[in-house]
Amino acid sequence: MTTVALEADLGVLLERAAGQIARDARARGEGFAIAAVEPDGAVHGVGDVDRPFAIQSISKVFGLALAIRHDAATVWRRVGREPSGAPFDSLSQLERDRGVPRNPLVNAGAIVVTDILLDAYGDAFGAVRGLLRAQSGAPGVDADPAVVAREEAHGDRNAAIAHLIAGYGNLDASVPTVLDHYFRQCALRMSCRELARAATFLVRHGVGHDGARLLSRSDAKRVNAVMLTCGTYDAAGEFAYRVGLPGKSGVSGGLLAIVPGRCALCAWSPRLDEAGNSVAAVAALDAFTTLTGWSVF
Amino acid sequence: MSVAAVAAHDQANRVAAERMTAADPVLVDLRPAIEVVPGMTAETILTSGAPMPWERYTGGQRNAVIGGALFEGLATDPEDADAKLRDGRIVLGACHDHGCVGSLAGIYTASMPVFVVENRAHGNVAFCNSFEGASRKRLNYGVYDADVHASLVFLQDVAAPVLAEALRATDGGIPLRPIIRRALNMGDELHSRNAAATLLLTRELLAPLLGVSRERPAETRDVVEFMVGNDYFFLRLSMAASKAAADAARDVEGSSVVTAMTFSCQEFAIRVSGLGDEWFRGELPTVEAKLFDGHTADEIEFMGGESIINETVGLGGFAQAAAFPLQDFQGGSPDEMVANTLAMYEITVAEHPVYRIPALSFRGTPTGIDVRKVVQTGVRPIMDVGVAGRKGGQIGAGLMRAPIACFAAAAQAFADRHGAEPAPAA
Repeated sequence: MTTVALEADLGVLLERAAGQIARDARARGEGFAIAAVEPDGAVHGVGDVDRPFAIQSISKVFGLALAIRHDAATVWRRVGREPSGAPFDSLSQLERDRGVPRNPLVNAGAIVVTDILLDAYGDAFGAVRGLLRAQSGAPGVDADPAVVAREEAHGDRNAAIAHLIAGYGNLDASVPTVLDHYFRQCALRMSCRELARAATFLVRHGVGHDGARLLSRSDAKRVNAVMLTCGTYDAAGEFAYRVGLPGKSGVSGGLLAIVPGRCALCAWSPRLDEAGNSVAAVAALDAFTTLTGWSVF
Repeated sequence: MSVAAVAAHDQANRVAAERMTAADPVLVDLRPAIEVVPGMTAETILTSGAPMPWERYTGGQRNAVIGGALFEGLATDPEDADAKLRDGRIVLGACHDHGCVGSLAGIYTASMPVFVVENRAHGNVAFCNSFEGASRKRLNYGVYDADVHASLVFLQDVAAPVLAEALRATDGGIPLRPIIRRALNMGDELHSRNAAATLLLTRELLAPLLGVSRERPAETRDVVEFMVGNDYFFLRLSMAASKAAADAARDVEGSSVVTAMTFSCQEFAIRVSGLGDEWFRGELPTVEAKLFDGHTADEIEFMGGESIINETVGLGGFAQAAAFPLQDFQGGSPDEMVANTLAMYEITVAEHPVYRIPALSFRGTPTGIDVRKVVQTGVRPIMDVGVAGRKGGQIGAGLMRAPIACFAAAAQAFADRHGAEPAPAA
């Protein structure tokens, strides 16, 4: 399998892995895209790679990176790093853990991370958006007001989570303030091309596109590790089994995956499985890593 | 690379870095370029960047070269200058090839006064011309008009004679290493912030200038006002000091340490110790600028620059953690400045034994960029720079990141020459 990867252009490999999945999705009337960005910024893609979607929970990866960059010790004091084994918006688990979220990639964890960013940067949403704009090279990246409104209208469960965390003394800012920033970062709209490009600092062991170090090599490894173990909700084990890469999904159908040292992959297709992960995106990444032999295992 | 080859490579880089860090630059004189700059002729103009045909120079750098020709009386008007530059009656050269470094466009003509800096540890000499003054319109920023002409005449007819006499009255010149060392402890990084270094230099010159003032009181007062009114005055001296240090590290066989970084209006380029005189060229760098009020990013223009010789030897952007006040001028935050400096340790081979950073517990500045480390980590050298505007003049300050391509090309050439594996990319 590895021989295939070494001999072929990454764009060719993507097409071979995901071309049929893209055609099947199109036949069902569903959108599909997968983009791969190499460390030097070269982009390859199949499908609607420039079609924007709300990145939703994928934003948690970038918030986590910023928070770790600011103060890793505080992050890991206030948030765990174990897989949840529970739905991404579980309240019961949070109650059992006395307001310390199981990891930063479930909603509760990301809410605490947002609180940490508010303390660090004053504007948590602005900090995440700034990072995504800078790393994607897309200065127009912004929140979709309609998605923000929808998040707010249906945010009761997240509000309950935030109040529970606050009740345990694990939030510094007010619940409405934290939720405002949290909802807006979830509503950021980006394409697969932009999102994969924005994540290549995790491919480059913490070094951004501009050659600046965003995260230490160790912290980049740690973010990837948390993505691997916690990035696809309570289906993280299945995702690791099938794909074998650090990944983070979002409920709008986006799925980001990292092949350290080789490329960042972002796939999108809106139909979700029971765990909230995109069916076609997982299938495409499964096919890609099977074809190339690229995984962290 | 074999174990023996790795050891030889490390040893060669150690030698290059030691030559850099051992440099003992001393300011000894200020003379017309034609008297001291090797290869300078009456018809020569030196400019920043790796050498290019005249036809490739554009915008502010082209205007600056033409301005230099007019100032020197080599042409009657811009068209005449252009014609003479095309047919070689005016000879265009690269500053680095003549022991000089240029700020922005970096214009040197025969009559312009240049600071002479001796590296007493290695025996080589480097030169830099003078800061033109606080006006945002300067020849090195692509402007030549009556005001710029008057500034250049002031430097030539007033400042240079007074400063030269003062320098000759010192006991063998003014050592620059102690000034740089102390300025780093006082909030300078010696590129975009030179306030402390300029004051320290002024202090060294105070007594000799008092002596000069007996014969020329008015001129001396003007020169003192010029120096104390321009925090950037010392930059040109630190550039000459850095050039002297970097040149000392040239031609160490087997070393992958960078000995020059430069850019013109068209491209960025580097030289590597163990790879001779070859320039490894790449695209222009990326820049994050904080612009002066009234200016916008679409005005930014590259018109050359070699003040990044300071970064080449571990100052400027590499020493940002020493210069927190800079955030007011070029943006950023203390945390980012510390992070920027810490990242530079990843791509350098030494820490300077004398130039140290208080905020990092007096850790030595990261010195000696290794092209292989740049390629391996993907971390690109950071540089503090002035930002030029399309219409000429300075419109802001900011950070540049060197392009990876020239480092990749140099690493490949190094591998070809030494039979080593190319440095694996990050």
